[in-house]
Amino acid sequence: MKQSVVDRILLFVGLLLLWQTLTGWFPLLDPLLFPAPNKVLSLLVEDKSVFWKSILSSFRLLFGGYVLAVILAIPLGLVVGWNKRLHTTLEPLINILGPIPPIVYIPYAIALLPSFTHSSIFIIFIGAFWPLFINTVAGVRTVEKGIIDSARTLGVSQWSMLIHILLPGAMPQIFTGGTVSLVLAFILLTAAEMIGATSGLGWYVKYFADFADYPRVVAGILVIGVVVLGLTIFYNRLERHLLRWRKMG
Amino acid sequence: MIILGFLSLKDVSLVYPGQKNGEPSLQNINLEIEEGEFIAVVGPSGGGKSSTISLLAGLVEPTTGQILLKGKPITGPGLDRAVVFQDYSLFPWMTALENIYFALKQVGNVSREKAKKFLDIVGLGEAATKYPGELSGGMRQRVAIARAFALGAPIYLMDEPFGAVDAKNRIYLQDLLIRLWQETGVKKTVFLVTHDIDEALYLADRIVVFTTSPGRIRKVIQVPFKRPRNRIPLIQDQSYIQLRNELLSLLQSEIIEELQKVEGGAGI
Repeated sequence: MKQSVVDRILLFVGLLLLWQTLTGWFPLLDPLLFPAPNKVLSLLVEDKSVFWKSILSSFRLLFGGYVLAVILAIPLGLVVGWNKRLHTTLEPLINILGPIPPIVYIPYAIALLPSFTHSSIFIIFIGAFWPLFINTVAGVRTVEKGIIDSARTLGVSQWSMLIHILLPGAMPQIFTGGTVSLVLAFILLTAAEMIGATSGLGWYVKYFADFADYPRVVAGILVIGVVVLGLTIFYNRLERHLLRWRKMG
Repeated sequence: MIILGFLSLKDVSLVYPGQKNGEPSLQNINLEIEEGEFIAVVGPSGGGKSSTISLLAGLVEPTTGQILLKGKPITGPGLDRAVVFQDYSLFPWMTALENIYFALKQVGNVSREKAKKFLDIVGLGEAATKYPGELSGGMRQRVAIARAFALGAPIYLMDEPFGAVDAKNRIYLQDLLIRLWQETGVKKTVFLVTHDIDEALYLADRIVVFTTSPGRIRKVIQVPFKRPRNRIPLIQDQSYIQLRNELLSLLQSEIIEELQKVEGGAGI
């Protein structure tokens, strides 16, 4: 086995032992707030179906907002980054709207949209939109002039310029924005669920915290951690595939 | 004597917007290029050589004057002019084959076999699935040249295409260029910018010497050597040495004048 793998397993086992020591063998921590690992792990099995349902419910909101952001932010970012006049006109507006924390739109989302689901998707969308949009615009503007000239000498159409030149040229920065968007979307998702949902991972943690059921709170946090890890691995794979032309040789 | 110029620059001046003091990059450029001619351009850097390529490519418009191709003004980039840059000709996210295929698609002449054929011609059939980032500088330029010739354009504009390539590969690429230039049916017109005097003498029919700030044509020199040219006898030829010296002194006097302006001439 590779050294790095061995090290990681050792760290994992060490942390588990530390947890067991502090909660079970020498219970220095308040047992009500800090449950022992065996208790938590057995709950992961016991509440399995609830967790699956929660994950599904959370993903619906997360992807609803995130995919909507991707679909709108990238094409708009390409056009705004490419069209100098449009960019100059919109720049002040982008500078004002971009940094506004998306949670401040919650009152309007609740007032204007028909359901909790719609409101949550809207807030997640706003949070995910700006980092993606701003990075797409910046990515287009940093594509080497020589590459754009090369494309122009081939007589490419405007459409082809956007799709085949500017999109891949801006892709490294789009992924940078996409990471920020994903993190922000997940934070907003969990917050939204803790405030108003009746299902989902955030709801699970908040619901059982209200009953002081801390073993379930910890189990919920662990599941959230694993879900985020899974998303990150998938995202990094996608990035490595789409940017496979980079940093070679 | 040329009555109907194939490609002609008439009183062309170029001032980039926002340029300091509004000093022109090019001033009063007049040049008539015949069809099938191989023109090499030499001169100090910043002397407007690359700007001339941009003008001919249609990437920028002249501030004053006209550029005519078969009597018609050039209004923008076109597939009748293939361009090879020193760098950035290829798209880094496309493989060598995809780069050529993408260019072919713009002419509407789509077939992967044809793209592959041109890679084979430059000896890079094996590297078809490699990305530019995986290729050496010399290999990248071979792909760029293959792409240019795959387009089948009658005019080739090359901006120091071998500037970043090592000596051995440069010789290989020069011979490749000459081969492609002569081989493919009708002789192509080539406009090559270089900083290598020997390259200009080996390749060109005429050498245009540029001068700097503002960029103007200092002299046009006819290269009298018969083709096919052979390197070894050529560089020993008395008239070659004479021409080479003439070009060198033209370029050096330019550099010395520049230095005198900057340094006050101390030590020259």
